[in-house]
Amino acid sequence: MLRFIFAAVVLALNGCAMIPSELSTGGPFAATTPLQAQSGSHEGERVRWGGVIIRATTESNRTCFEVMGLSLDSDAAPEANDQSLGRFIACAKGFYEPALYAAGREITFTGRIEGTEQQKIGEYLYAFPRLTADAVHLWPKRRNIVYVPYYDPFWDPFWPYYYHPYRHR
Amino acid sequence: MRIRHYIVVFMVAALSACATTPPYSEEMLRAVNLTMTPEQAVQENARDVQVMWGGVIIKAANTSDHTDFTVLFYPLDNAQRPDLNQKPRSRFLVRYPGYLETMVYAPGREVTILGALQGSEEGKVGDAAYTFSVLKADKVYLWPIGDDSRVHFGVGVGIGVHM
Repeated sequence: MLRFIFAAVVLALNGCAMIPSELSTGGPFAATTPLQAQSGSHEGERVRWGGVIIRATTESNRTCFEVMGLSLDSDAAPEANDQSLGRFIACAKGFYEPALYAAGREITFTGRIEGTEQQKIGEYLYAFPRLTADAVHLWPKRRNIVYVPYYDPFWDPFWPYYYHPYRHR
Repeated sequence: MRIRHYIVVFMVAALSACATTPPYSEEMLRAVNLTMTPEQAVQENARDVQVMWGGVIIKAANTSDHTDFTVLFYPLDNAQRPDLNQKPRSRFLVRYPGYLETMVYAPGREVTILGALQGSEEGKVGDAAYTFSVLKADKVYLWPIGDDSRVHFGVGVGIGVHM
């Protein structure tokens, strides 16, 4: 008979994966990135893309967003890093207030790749993948959050390094 | 069957300190003039001199086949990172052949550039005339935001009892 007692006293920070409901339907989503979609060969694929708004332009019955794509975390929120996945243009039906959907804000869409469009960034001719978006999620501004530490009995201090000094050999 | 008892009491304090590795190896710097400053480069209208310069991006723009930067020069520290505790020197222009995302390589970010000088160019800062040294970049290293301490401490404590 083996008895096992394991106690770990730690301060840990946990997040639960909570994809906003409007972004969690309509899948499955292709893993295609905006950079890969520049080739034009990914038309019709359904994707979930997000990033930082560069500009929102309102048209008579829709709003188009120019976005710098970023990888998404388990909540489908853009991850703040330096690895841009390429820019894209996402258009959604309806009016989205450009003063709210402002440059610098984080946003995630689901939708269909509808081809590419040549547009200039400065003087550089860039092939923007076009996304017809059916869901638009604007993320709250990041705040300087003070996390309250709590005791998590299941926290494994050695994860993800599987070096357990008390493990059987 | 014998019952084996193990009691393992375990306590670890892991302290890891990792200093930043310089982005450019000594080999890459073999032909590089490490003492040349932008002021000196303007004075001598230096051309085809290999330099490693760093600083803070002031302006970034995409041209049809280049990405152009205006950079405020700071002397580099031992890790080849711009040392923002020192006084900034003059501005210089960087021409990078190819497309870089200016939302990432954005004003305010620190870069260290390896390249060759291409003489100087007249321009303006506001209304003031300014002579910029021009650097054709082979490599533009973008430094992570913040991360200024250069040393990271990690402390872990674990206790386990195994019977």
